[in-house]
Amino acid sequence: MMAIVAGETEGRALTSARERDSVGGAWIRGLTERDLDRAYRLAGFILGDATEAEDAAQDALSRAWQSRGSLRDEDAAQAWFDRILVNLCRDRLRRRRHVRWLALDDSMPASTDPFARAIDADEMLRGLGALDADHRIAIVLRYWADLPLDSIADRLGVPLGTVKSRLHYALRDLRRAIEGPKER
Amino acid sequence: MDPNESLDQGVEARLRAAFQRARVPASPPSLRARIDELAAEPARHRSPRRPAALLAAAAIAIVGLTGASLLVGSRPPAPTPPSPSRGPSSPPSSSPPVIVPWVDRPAAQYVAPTPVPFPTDARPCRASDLKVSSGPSGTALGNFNLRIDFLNVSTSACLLRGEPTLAGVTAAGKAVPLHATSGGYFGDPGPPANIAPGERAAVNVGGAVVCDSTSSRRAYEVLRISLPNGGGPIDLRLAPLETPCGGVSVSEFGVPALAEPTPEPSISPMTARIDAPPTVRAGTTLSYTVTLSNPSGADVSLVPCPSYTEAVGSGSSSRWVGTVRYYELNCDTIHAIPAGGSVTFEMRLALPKTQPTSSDVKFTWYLQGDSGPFAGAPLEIVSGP
Repeated sequence: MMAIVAGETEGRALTSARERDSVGGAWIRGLTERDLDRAYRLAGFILGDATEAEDAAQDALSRAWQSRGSLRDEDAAQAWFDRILVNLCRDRLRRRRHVRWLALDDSMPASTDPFARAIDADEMLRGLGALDADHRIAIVLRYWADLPLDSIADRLGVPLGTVKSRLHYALRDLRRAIEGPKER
Repeated sequence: MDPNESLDQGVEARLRAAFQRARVPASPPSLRARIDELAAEPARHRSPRRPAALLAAAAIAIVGLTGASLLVGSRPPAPTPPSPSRGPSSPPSSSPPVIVPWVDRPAAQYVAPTPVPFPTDARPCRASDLKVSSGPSGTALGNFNLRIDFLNVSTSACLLRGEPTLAGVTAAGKAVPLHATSGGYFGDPGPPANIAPGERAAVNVGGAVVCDSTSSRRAYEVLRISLPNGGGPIDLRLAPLETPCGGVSVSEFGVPALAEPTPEPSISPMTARIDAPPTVRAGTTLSYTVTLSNPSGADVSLVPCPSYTEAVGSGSSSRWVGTVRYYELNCDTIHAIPAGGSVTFEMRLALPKTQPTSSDVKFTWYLQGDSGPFAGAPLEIVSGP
């Protein structure tokens, strides 16, 4: 007997616990190299540190695997995983208490970390170091991951208005960071 | 137009360009290895609410929640490897057919055996039956857990089932309800079961340890635990309990000694490999093969004949189509995968016309749920005929 055919019923919520387990498990197992690159780079741009990005992505995979039974619908899988990853990155940033990847002083030795180096090498990205964790995450989700505002709100678990507000203030702070004292 | 708006648009455009220009590395191989490692773990937990293995596996920092000497959870024992099982008519290793033909034998979705429930027919425990103490505690991945143990000091078995209600008792003796949420990150300490005299049940009390600067905490030296079913309150002195930011969570009562699940299907030693064409048209049947290899020193029986799952998913986050089928393997002539050998099976998967075209398709195959071998392969779906 054919137990489940999701082919023609996109977005169908799977009901039994076992089905949910298979949906989440299958989704994680089916992650392609491109998916993993995306997760790693998302964490890398948020954290600015390749080692921490690798740790965060590993933790996110573990956390997602442990809670794979909670994924009811493959439509929501990417947002579900992003939410886990972003939350872990936010925890790391807050524990860090200060921004490690801000290198405004040109006399500082160039970092060997590939994310820190890429960020330090660009004036715009360097300005991200002036932002707090929530603002930086919003910027990376919007302008690197290219997500629409409602998708960002879904991933962050905040209202749409909060996303707009964070982006507004993040862009203002970025502009000030780039333009320097003349704006202040 | 607000001048800041046009300035923002300029910054937005420069940001997008900067991100595009940034040269950052691809993901390290450890991420793929992590997926393989996770998928290879046997399903230890019957409920996703009980990720005790995660607690044990994570780097655990001991926190001074009780002021007592704290015990860090230990990793559950390694899974028992599958018993070498030999099918009653295992073919000789040297004569497997080249490709075992596909059979159209749809199967029910694989369901792991249901664990045998523990007896729960004893009378409800009352506070006077119990001696309470703080058990092991620790933190993992930003969450803390304090286990509270209840020793049955009465002369007959009793049952703790459901969740307690919690209150913090101030120095002035006032009980402040903690309004704990059900569940919690570490799940239940074990399944519910009768507690014989001299045995223990427990609950997990937890919460997040990572707070932002606006979170407030209160510290209590006495935790008042009100038992379900009118069992009455029982006090536990702590030194001191700091309420976590974001509120307290509480699990259901369970018996930690029974936390090890009843045996679930042993993890298979086999590996699977998909050989598939690089492209398939939506609305046609994808024909491919799966090779099951057995690197172990013992034959792996295919009696009873296992089922498999094949799944193809494609589309975007706004329109995702997953095609999932369950079939029995063709065990008509193959009753075991020989030690050190492999067998290749023909597979077919009919894709609907509505399967979205994509070059980034999730294509997976796995045998018998989470405990079996699995494989994935790249696949591109092109427009139908």
